[in-house]
Amino acid sequence: MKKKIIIGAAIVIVLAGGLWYFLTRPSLTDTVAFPYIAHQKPAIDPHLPSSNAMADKLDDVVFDGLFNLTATPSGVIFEDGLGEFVGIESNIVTIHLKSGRYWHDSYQAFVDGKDVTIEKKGKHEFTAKDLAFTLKRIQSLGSLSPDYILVGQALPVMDFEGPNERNEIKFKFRENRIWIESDIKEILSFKILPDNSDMNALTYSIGTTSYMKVPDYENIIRFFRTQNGSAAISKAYLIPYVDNSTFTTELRNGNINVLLETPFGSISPILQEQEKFFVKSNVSSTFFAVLFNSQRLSREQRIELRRLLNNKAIVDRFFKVGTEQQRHTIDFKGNHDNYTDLVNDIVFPTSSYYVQDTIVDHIHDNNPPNLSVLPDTIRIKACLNYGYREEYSELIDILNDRTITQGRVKATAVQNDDIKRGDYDALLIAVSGYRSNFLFDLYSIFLREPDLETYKINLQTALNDKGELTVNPSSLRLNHNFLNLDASVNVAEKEDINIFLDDMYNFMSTHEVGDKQEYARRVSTDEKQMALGAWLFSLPSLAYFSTRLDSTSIDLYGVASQLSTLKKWKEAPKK
Amino acid sequence: MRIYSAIPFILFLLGGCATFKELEPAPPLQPAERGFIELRNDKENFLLKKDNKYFIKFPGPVDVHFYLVLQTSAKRTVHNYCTTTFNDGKPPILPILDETADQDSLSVFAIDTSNACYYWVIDTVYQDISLSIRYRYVPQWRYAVENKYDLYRRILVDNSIDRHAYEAMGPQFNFAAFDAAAEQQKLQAKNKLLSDMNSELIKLEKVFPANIAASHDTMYQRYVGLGDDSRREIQFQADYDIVLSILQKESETKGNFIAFMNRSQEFEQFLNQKNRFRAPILEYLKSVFLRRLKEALSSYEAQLSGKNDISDIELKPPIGDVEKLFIACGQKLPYDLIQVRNYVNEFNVLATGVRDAETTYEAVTSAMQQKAPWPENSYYPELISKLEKAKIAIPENRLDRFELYKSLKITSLVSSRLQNILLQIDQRETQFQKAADIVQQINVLRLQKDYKGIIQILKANRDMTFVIAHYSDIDALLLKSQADKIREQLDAQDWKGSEDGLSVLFNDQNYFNPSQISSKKLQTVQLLETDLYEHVKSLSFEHVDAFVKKNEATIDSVTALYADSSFLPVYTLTFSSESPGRVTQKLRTIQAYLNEVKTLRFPEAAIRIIYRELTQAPRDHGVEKAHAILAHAKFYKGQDKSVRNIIDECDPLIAKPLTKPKEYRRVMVIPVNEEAMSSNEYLFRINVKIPSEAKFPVYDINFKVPSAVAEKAGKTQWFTKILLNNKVVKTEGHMRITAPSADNNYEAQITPVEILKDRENIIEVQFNYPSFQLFEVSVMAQVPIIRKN
Repeated sequence: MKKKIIIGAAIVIVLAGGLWYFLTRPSLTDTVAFPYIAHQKPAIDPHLPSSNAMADKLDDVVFDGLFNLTATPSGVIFEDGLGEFVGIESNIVTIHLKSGRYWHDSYQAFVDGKDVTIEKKGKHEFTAKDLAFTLKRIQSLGSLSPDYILVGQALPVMDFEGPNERNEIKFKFRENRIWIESDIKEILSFKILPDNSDMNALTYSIGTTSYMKVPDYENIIRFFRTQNGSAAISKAYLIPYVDNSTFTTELRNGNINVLLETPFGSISPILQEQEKFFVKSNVSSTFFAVLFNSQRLSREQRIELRRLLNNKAIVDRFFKVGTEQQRHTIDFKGNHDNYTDLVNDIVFPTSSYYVQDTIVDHIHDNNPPNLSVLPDTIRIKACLNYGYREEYSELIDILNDRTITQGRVKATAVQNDDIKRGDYDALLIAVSGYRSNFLFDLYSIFLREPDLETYKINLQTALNDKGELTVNPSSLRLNHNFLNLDASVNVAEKEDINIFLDDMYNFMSTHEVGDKQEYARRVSTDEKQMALGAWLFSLPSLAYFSTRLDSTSIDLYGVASQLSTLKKWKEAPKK
Repeated sequence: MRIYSAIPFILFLLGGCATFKELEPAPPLQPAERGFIELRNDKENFLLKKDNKYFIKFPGPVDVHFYLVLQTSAKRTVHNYCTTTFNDGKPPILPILDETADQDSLSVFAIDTSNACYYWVIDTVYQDISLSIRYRYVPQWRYAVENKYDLYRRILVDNSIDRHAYEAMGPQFNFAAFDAAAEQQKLQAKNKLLSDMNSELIKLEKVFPANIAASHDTMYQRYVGLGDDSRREIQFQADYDIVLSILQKESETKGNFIAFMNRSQEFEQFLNQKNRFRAPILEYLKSVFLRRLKEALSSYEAQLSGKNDISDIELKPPIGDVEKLFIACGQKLPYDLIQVRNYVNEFNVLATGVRDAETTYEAVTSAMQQKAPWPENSYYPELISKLEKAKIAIPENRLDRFELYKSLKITSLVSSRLQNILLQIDQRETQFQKAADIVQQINVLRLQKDYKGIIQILKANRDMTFVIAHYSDIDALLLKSQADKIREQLDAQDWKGSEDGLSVLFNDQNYFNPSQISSKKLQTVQLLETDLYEHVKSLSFEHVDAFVKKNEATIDSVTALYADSSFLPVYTLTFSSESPGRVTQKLRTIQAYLNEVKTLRFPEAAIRIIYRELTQAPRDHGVEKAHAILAHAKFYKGQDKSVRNIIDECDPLIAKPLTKPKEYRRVMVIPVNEEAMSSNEYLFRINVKIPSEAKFPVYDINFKVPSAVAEKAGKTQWFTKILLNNKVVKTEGHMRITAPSADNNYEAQITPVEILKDRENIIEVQFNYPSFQLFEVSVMAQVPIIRKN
């Protein structure tokens, strides 16, 4: 009897808990819900890369360009954003600026707990001044901004004439090619900020898209459809979680309905129910690397350490290839379990244009490591607190495995302060949000301040005697980059460091394709010689969606941002 | 209303303000000719107030030439004047002269019918007076005669001459005691006054009325009587004056025959007026004149003795004047004077003949010395004839007949001159006869243009300097004839003959005066030499220019064209008056032009023309045209950029520069093999030299391939090989070669083509095609862009 009472009480408690859960969990009706790491709130800057992959993706949610790169079932296209293409004559491009496009501060969000009501507050309309401000900002950011490269290759002067009485403006494009409409739209697809913005804000939230950011509710970052917005689904939430270890479970439990990056980038066994979930792959945008501390390891040691870190073996172990627990993958081309394609032997990932188009050689160093050169123990450290906890944990185990690193590596998880202090022989790090196109970002690897909590690029430039902008050697300073490169300290490598810095800057700052290719080769060669890191592998990009969303309305393609089509996403019709 | 009624009153006041007051006589003034009439104001005198001003309007006279005569004691107590116009004292005022201004109570003003009235104006009254005044209208002649008749009559009496002396003059009159000069002086003084008075009378006649002669006007009759008396006295005084003059003139020339004869004409006229002067006076003067004529012979003989040349004798006075005065005095010319006259006549005729002969001789001599060029045969015979005529024209010397004058100097002088001129003429005639023979021979040779024969004659008569002087241009003519012959040969393009002629001329010394002509001969030789050179040069140039014109569009056997003789001079020069080196230099100049045509102008023109035709119709013998251009190019040594560009365009082995991005450049593609084959080899080369800001430029290279070549590109590779800087380009790695197809308008693309900055970047495309033809490919390069995707 007592046993029955206990069982009954337990059943009641479970039922009550279940009932409480169902009654209190957030409703995802008319909502797209993504997870995010709670202590890594995305700082949105539409013109700068971010270490937070979600932040880059949100650019498309909040901001419009004159034209927007977006995915379609047939590939990417450039849709009209705030502008309409009128024509081109003698390299003068005429663009009509749309009227009736309002900035988000034209609306006011009235918040009542989790409820939000949006009403019109004023008429802050998009004008040519906003465009002028944006071009000025892109110009000021220089090579830090991919948009600077894209726009600079077409516009010798980042300015325009107009608008005229028809609200048309004219850009003078360079005369070195026949500019076709799609090229012009691509050049003019940079995101536009309102001209009353702070030029150097940490984050920007006032855009012109269908979704406007409203105040957070219990750390849920919320974007609501504006009154004029054309989005099919009225809300987009970023739901906070401690780390990514529970993302799959949360999706399964219906607490979120979109998971843009699955742990390990692999197919999840617990999301195999196709009636509940569907999956879409994308080109890789994250790779793992071990960056060597040049103050602790000599070049000779770094070369041998790179040989020691057999990335092919690490990948196989990472995806548990050949085991019952093998993590299966599918890439955006539909290839299954193509782990070899994920291996990166050089700083440019295999998925990047530079490797895909064989601009740079991607040759694996098959020489066995000379262990005698290496220290007895190489301390590789990683911080698990800024995403990819699952992957980091797995990799630490792998690196500590004697069969992989021959007992010469001691990999540990540390806090961010250890990283900031440079207290490591080498650093295991995930570089996320990389672009596989021409605009691969070397600054985020080599010039980033060694502080995972913030994202700061230590680029110092100066004008030379010819009036040309050149990189200043002080860009690489001790304790201000992951590799602790500093030409003034690394005297033996001073010349190579400076050459490497020059080549990197030239790669990043040029808008000439040929120069980009040549400096890519040089950077790759420089890096190979200097052995600055072991580039391990890229993570497949796999997104899971709840079938509550209509799979036919969601297009992910190539390098287009995953959220570039968010406003087109729809809920699946109820059966 | 009141203001209007005041206007007449105001006008009246203004009218009353006139400065002068008109005095209106009653009865009114009468302008007819009468005596003086009292001018009254209703039988009373007008009262004139001190400081007031007045005027009286007098009507104009009834006829012309009248006087208005005013008689008043007030003439000096008021200031007055008479005027034809008057307007209250305002200008203009035209005062009439008072002809009796010196009189105190009479004023006389000349008036006529040209004015309707006259104004007598009193502009100043010194004190109040009663104006007593009479007026009279009177003809001017009458007024004059009335006032001057007695005066005139007294003048006549006072100035008449006492005629007693005149009446007494004759052979018996004592002229020695008579002072003719004093008498004449007295006479002339009186005659002056009388003549003045007579002039006034004549002047007065002009103002007589027309019908006065028929009237019995007493005053007029008195005037006529006075006039007759005056004229008679004046006539007498004139006659008497002449007599007094003749007497004085004869007296004044005593001792001077020539001075006497200078007045012979007056004396002669006086003697011939037998009715005017009294006969005794005439008889007396004849005897005086005959006595004076006896001085003539001695005067003439002195003149003949004093003469010492053979100019004409001109006697003074002329012997004719002497003869006339003799006749006026009633006698003939004496015999000794007749002998003088005959000698003078004979001498003058002979002297004229001698002088004329001398003049002819001088003229002929002068003509001889004038060096008349190339005289006719008649030239010297005509001179001889002139001398003959002059000789014949000399009269016979008959001066020997005048015994009295044989010894005169002039008689022997004229005889000597006569003999001398006759001798000179004979000598000159002999010279001229010889000259005439020479001239005749030369004129025969001249017709034959035998200048060398003429030179031989002249050389044989070197002493006949005046004859040689006629032919001073003989050497020049010989030179000209030789030059003309060479010029004819030049015109006939007989280059060898003309050059030989030049050589002969250059060395010829058979001239009359070789040293004198040598510089001109050399000049002629050089001129002809230049002509020969210019002819040879210009004809060579014409030949080659015509050849170029004819063949510039030729596309067959182009290489053979360059072996044509048109590129050689029409004649190879060998002679030079300067030096052998000069010949070489001239030949070099000609050859230089020919070479320039051969290596520059001909290929340049041909290349341009053929290329123009090629571009206009590339399918019409396009390959042959391109090959023709390349054949010309082998000979072309110019650096004209456009021509070089054309050659480069047609030469498949020359890379066509591509210097601008995004612009399609047309490239002609011709077979590499010279002759058609079953599979012909084609290639074209592009040199990408596009300026770029990039340090390592890359380009998309697009080719618009001919559809005939590209249409099977989908099945078989349309090209056999593509090279970039001699390295084969393949679709591998990042390099892509896009196939041309109908979908892409047969446009192939190679990308990315990495270019070596500032260096040659040769892209070579090779393909085969069955037909032997010219293709056109368009090539374009543009920079690729960095894309997000």
